Amino acid sequence: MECSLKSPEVYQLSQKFNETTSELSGFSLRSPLLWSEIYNNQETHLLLAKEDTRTLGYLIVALHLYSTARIATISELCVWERKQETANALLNQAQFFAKQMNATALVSWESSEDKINQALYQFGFLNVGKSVFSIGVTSIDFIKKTLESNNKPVSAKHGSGSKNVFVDLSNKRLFAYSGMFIVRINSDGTVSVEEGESGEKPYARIQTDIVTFSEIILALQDPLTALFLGRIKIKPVTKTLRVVKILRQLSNRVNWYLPLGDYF
Amino acid sequence: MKFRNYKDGDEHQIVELLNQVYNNWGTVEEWCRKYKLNPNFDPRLIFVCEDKDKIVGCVHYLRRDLKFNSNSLHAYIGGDGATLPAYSGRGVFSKGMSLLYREVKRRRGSIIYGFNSESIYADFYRRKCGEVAVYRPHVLIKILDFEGLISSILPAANRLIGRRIPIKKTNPVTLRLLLDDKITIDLCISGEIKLCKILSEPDITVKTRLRILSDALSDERRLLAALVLRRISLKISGSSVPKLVMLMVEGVKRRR
Repeated sequence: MECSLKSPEVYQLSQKFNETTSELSGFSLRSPLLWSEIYNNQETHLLLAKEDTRTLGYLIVALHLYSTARIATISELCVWERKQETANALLNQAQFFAKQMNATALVSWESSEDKINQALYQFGFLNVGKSVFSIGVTSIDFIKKTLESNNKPVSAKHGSGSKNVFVDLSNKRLFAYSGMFIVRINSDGTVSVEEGESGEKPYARIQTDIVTFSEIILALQDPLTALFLGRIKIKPVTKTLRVVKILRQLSNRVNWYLPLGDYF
Repeated sequence: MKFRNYKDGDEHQIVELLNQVYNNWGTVEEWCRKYKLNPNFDPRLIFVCEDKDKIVGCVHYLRRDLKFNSNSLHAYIGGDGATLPAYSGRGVFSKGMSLLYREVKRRRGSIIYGFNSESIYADFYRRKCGEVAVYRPHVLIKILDFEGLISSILPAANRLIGRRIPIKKTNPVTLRLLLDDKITIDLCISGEIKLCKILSEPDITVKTRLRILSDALSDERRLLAALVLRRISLKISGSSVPKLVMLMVEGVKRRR
């Protein structure tokens, strides 16, 4: 059944999205305000899957014009009960509305949930490639939040006490963040990041660029590979392997997910 | 050329530019709904490049926070960006992006983010801006009207690849796509790709499953694998061989 994006139920639905994706990163937190911002310029339908009075999931289908092509996009598909079956029921509704809007195709992004993906493929969706979601770091805040929120104990086996690793990302060629900071690995294993150069002599110095450093801390690139490719320099050389080990321990794999509705 | 922020009234020229670059992008009203009426609209996040009072390039960004681990990131999302074809290769978009990065850094924003194709990301956003690709979602499509879809995307496809096709209008190549044993699409390729009705034997016949074709077209290696493994069957009519050999030679010459 269809529901208005202005109905009072919208708040609960947006919160359901935030709950079901609470372990993931990259999306904008859903709220009626965000929905009105995203969907105010499109022909949009909010579809619900219901059993008696209980809502089992929702789907937002919106019409987009690409050149002269009329494409219906599944902007959000969120289910929380009997997932595959509910997703399938919602996809059937979406196809009905897409045809009503004279769309020539229905487009979606893969979901973070296997059961939804299974439903999409069973429904006849074909894979036509990938989109790239990229981020450009503009301040130390992102690095702090990545390293400090991780805060899994970094092994103190490398020696006693805390260690300061100085990181130099001063590559002026790139538009993104370039600067210097200290990564302090405390004796209790927690990590803190301080911008600038401290007076004390660091345990080691790392020189690299923001792309390589971000890829290492997000576990998208292994520090040893970066070292072999000459993307990172560690001083003193005698501590290279120990610093590589620290970097591996600092890296934090983030599970990203964005619904197609976040595409702008 | 000079760069400046958006000012009231620019929307008419911006939309004209977007329509020239993307063909049928939309109307001024749509632009206003997307940007000006957006609660997060900020003219300092829209840069335009002017040459003799004419807007020849634009970069749009909006403030939109992003969930990251258990935090929220102070973030900015990329919107429509365009440069008039006559000004491409002159650093218009690059300069716009550098100004945007400077503005976001001034505001102590955490990140800028956006969505691109792999090649644009690798050539520009990674190499020039220093962006990191963190997520690559598969794009899935269910075709509801195959012929309608093909005919609606052909004008855009022709603008993108038409110039690269080394086939003269006087000597067209006919291609028949046989998909899933039920869909037949006839295409005529000359200076551009057109839907047509082939009455005699086509020069090339491609027979495969739609799922395999869409998968193969998403990646050159997959295409090669599909051809080698004969998941895509390719039949070339005997009389067309000399013509196709000539075209391949012409294509190689053009590349050089």
